[in-house]
Formats: sequence, C-alpha cells, structure tokens
Amino acid sequence: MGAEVFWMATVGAVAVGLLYYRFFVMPVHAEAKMDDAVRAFGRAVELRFPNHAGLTEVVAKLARRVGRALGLGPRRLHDLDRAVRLRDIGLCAIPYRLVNRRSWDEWTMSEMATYECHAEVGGAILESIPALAEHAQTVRMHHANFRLHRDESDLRSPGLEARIAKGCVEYVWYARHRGIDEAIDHLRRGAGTLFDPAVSHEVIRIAGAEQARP
Amino acid sequence: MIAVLGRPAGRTAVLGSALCLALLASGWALAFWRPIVAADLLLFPFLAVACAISAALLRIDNSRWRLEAPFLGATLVALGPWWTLGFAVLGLAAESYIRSGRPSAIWRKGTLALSMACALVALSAHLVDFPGWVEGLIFAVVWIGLAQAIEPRGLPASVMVVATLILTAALGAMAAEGRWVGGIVALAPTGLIASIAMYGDRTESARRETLQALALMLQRAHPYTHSHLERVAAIAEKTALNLGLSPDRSRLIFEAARLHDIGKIAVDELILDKSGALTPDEYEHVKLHAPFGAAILEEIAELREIADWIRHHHERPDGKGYPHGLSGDEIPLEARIIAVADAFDAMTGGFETGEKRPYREPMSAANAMCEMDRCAGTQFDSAVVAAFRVAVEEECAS
Repeated sequence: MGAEVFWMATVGAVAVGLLYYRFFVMPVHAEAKMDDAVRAFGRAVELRFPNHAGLTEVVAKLARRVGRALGLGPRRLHDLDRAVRLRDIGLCAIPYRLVNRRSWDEWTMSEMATYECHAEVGGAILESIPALAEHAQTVRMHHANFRLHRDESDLRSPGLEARIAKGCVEYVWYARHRGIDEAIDHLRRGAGTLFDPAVSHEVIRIAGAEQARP
Repeated sequence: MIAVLGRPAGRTAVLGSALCLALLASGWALAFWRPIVAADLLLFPFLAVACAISAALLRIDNSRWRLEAPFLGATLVALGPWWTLGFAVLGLAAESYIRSGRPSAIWRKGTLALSMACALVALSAHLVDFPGWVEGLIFAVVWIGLAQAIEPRGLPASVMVVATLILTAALGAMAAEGRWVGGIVALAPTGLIASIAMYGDRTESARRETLQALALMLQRAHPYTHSHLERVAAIAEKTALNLGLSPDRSRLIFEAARLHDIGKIAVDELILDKSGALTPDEYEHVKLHAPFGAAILEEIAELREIADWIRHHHERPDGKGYPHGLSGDEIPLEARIIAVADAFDAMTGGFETGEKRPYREPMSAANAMCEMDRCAGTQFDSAVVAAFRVAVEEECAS
C-alpha cells in the first residue's frame, strides 16, 4: 500500500508539472516568439521606408482602443493588433524611390495604384505562411473603402478589423503629415464611403479626448 | 566524460544510474522486480551512458538514436529479441504516421493507445499474474505514445527522459501488482508529454515560417537573391562541417547564410541592380545592408547571435571591411565563413546556373578559387578558404 501511494504521488506530481508547463508556460513562450517575429517585420519596413518609422506603434495603440470601444473581445483585439503590425509587409515590393524620394502628394494615379498594391502583396505573403495566414484577409483589406462592405462573411468585403485598421492608419497618416484637424476632417468627410461610420466616430472621439488631455 | 555530461541525455543517464544504485542499495528495487521495471529503471541508465559516450566518440548528433537505442537495448535484455523487434516496428510505424503532418492524428493515436492500454490492463487483471508479454505490450503502447516526446522539443530532453522513466516505472509497478486502475492513471500523463511535443513542433514550425516570410519579403524586393541565398547557405554549412564545427552549429550557419542579405530589403533596388560602377554615396548606401540585416534579426530573441554574424559578414581579416573594420579573430568565425561563401557565389553566380550579376560577368569556379586563394589572409580567412576549397571540390565532384 505504501509503495502504491508512493508511485501514485510521484505520478501525480509529474502530471501537475507537465500540465503547468503545457498550458501556462509554453503558450507564453510561443506568443513571445511570434511577437518577436512581427516586430522584425515592422523593423524591416521602417528601415526600407524611414518615413514610416514609429507609425506602427501609434496605429496599433489607436486600433486597440477603437477595437475595445467597438466591443472586440481579447482574442479579436489580439488579432487586430497583430494584423495592424503586419499590414505593411507588402511594402517590400513597392519601389524604394517612390516612397523615399517623392512626396505622396506628387504621385501620379499610376504610382498611387502601385503603392496600393502593397495590401494585396502583403496578403499573399501571409497566406503562404500557415502561422500567419489568419491575418491575410485583414492585411489585404486594410485600405479597402467602406462602400465595398456588404456582409461580414463576404470575403470581398473588409471585415471589422480591416475597417478599424483603415480608419486608424489614415487618421495617423494625415495627423502626421497635415495636422490633427485635417485628419479629423478627413475621417468625418469619409464616414460611410471611405470609412465605417462607427470606426470614424470612435477614432474622432478618441483623438478628441487625446487632444483635450493636458 | 565531459562530452557525455555536455549532452542532456548523458546527464540524465548519469543521474538515472545514481538513482538506481541508490534504490538497489536501499533494497527498494527488489520489491519491484519485474521485467518492465528492470528494463526501465535499471538497464536504461547504464545503456544510455554507453550510447551517449559512443555518440560523443563517433560524433553522432542524433538525439533520437541516443535515447531510443537504450530503450531498445533494455527491452532486448528484459523481454527478448522478438518483442524488441516488435517495439521497433511499432515505433517506426507510429513515427511515420504521426509525422504525416496532421496534428489530430497524434490525438487519435494517443487515444487509441490509451484505449488499448485500458483494455489490456483490464484483461490482465483477471489473471493471477501478469505474463511478461502483457507487460511488454503495455510498455509498447507507452513507448509509442512517447515516441514523439523523445525528441527534445518543447521540454529539455533530460526532463522528457526523467518523466518517461517515472511514468513507465510506475506503470510497471502498478501492473505487476494487478493494480490496473493505478496502471491507467500512471499512463494518463503520457498524453500530456505527447501534447507538449506536438505543441513544441507547432512552435518550431511557426518559427521556420516567420523566417520564410522574411525571406519572401526580400525576394519581393530583390528577386535575384533567392537562389543566391540557397547556394551560399548550402556551401557555408559544408564549409563549417569541414572546419570541425558541430552539425548543430553548422545548421545554424546555414540558417544565418539564408538570411545574410535580409538587410537588402532596406536598400534601393535600382542601386543594387545598377550595371555600372557605384558612386561613393551609392556604395555607402549598399554597405548599410549588413547593419540593417542585424537590426532586423535582433528583434527576434533567439536570432540575436545570428544577427551578429550577419552584421560582420563583410568584415575582412586585414581590417579593411565594413561596417566596423574588425580584423582577424575579432570577426566571428561564422561571419568569416559566410563572407567566403558569399563572395564565391557572387563571383561565379552558382556552379551551374551562372547567373549574371548586373555589374559583372560570372567567373568559372576555378578562376574564382584562384582569386580566393590570392586574397586569403587579407580579404578572407585562410583556414576558412582551405575548408571552403574542400567543400567546393566535393560539390563539383557530386
């Protein structure tokens, strides 16, 4: 009887240790590794296009706040954050000089269309990577206009995460290059056509609160 | 002995041997004298030491061989050759099925294994005593379930082995006493070990895939680089092995060489593809690809060591390289290896394809080797060039 108790106690201790490791330690390590990789992608984009430096952190922070306000749960907020950080992975295919030597105000229609290809390229890259494929659709649609939206289940329609990403990206971009007032105006004018009205409303509300903060 | 202790399985085996000696001395082991427990607790550690020592002497770096061979050896002594052959075949079949790539297959197999174990133990409980073949079958089921776990993924190999020893010993002890409920309970944690191994595999796959994504980004920016990177990586690995580096280290150099030009993502492709000579400003811009590559990979904790090699893969032993002008042994050996492989491929464009760089016609391999011999000691490390020559000759011969 004593021996049986000894063995069962030993087995129990081993099982508890393995359970803790499998469900509490391993997922944290795996997530940390993926976060590292996503940061590496962002760093690559920022090195290629220095005028994008710091943009991703600001957009990601704003997107999380907007997502929370629109009722996204922890899992979807996490996916939104990851998709925002991966959104510009396709910029590696955009000509270096187009972004670094010319102002976007000077781009021709053709050059603008070339630039906008980065969303599709990014989606294609992510689709070929099983570990990141779940973010491909959001990345592909992160510049899609709201008027394309039909149904959440329609693959040709930008999902909520993509709509949030679009609103946040364009707000931050306009705020950086033309000022906050013009950025807010851009979102207000585009609500319902370029941007999801709910996203527009939340971005403007949060931006306004940031501005009012002393 | 140092080589044995340097390996996880070696350390575990030494620890296991000490444990079993203590059990023998205390008389406890005799109370559990059954073939399965004898094989597991008493024979395995000694055989594992022998395998670890021979693996170190023969420079075999296969963790599966080091850990499975002692199991099979112990089974051979305890249960005889036919059961050992059966276990080996069952194990191979389970391995190939598990590695078919569908994670759910592992769960189905694990559930099947558990069901078999429960049925066998329940059947045996009706018998007066456990026949050896029943214990052997139960052992086989446990071993199949743990086959994946023996690979050091997710948990250190030593922890896996210790957990295996404890669980199979408990199973054997319970089964030998007819305590079939205890036997089933002892078997349950094996599913956790398989789960850990599966999760470790998924994490490793995800890591490889993210590196692949980085390589894809570079390929989008500079399409010609892909085959160049593959060739440089392959020859760099062979050179590292010729220099006496371990297979693990050489594999790391392979991974680093595949990423050595990742910094070119941030370089103007029109300058990289320029057919004429670069202006000083353009050359300074291109030189940035080395520190840029390091900056990208430094974001990934487990690649920080590789990042340093990539930062320095254009340094020269005579100190005239970039970005920091390091010389001699200040340059990591791995960076010196990549430098040689990179330069050779840049000169030749590969052994067969002869891909043309926009600014130079490709050389023959013989002419390129002459150039490298001429620059040995100045632009390239002499010892690395010698090892590289052997690798090239082997490649040409094949």
